[in-house]
Amino acid sequence: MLIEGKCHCGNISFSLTWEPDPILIQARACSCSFCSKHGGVWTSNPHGILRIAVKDPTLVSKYAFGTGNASFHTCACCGVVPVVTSRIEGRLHAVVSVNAFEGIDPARIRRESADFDGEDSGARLARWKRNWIANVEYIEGGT
Amino acid sequence: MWSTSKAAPKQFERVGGVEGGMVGAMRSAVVRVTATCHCGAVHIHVRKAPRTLTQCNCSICRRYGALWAYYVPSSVQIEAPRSALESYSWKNRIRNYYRCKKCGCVTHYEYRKQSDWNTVGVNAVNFDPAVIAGARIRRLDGAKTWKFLD
Repeated sequence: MLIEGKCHCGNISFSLTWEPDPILIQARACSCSFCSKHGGVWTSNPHGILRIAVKDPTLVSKYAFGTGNASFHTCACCGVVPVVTSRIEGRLHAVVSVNAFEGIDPARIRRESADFDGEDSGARLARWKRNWIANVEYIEGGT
Repeated sequence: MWSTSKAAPKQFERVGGVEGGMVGAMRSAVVRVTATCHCGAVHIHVRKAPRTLTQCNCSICRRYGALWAYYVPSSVQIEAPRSALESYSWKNRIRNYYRCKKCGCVTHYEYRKQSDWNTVGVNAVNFDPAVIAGARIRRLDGAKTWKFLD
């Protein structure tokens, strides 16, 4: 299935190809200090294909904290964070926000809390490499 | 003393980065509970911890992942450098949604001046989790019916 999402104003949008169709979309409500203050609920399929399109790259803030390995792409117009990316061993990986989905029945999303406190940087990157979407195209100036 | 302004919550600029450096009525205010963005640039002081929170499924609230606590303007004080806040509004522009310019945390919304409403929505996810642990969360169908779903 094709899952589409965007920030509120549409500056940052994404399309995620997820095959085969998931019966339930597992999502992680991360309890870290950033995600809990952003209501961040993320999902990823390591075999998915993600296309991120940014209309105006000057209106994207990439806030980083902690180890600095993850970039939170915040739309500088509307303030929504639709995607998080990390470059791992030279390859761009990403998760997407289920809060930014368009046209997906919320009943299809299973939100579970996730607590990764205490995980060291190496273990975290290994988990991201294992679970995050690894086929990511980031298009600036696109629609 | 708390501000008595009904138009908007008072905004104070932190001067010198110390409590005693804040200007105006803030110095003598009875501060009970404070919400803080991730980077710490924006602090919102309110009189009481919220007992009820609203989780709305409308196009903007769901994207912000916000939990709204409602206050009258006179019981909200915003402490932030003047350049630290950005706002967003759309369509009929009834409300301004404010966020920290640096870390992006959505801190609060206010009705615009021409509105008949003046409630301030404080995003309760910025409180210490212990502050809102006992609050009831109500689910508002802001996307369709504007009625509570529970």
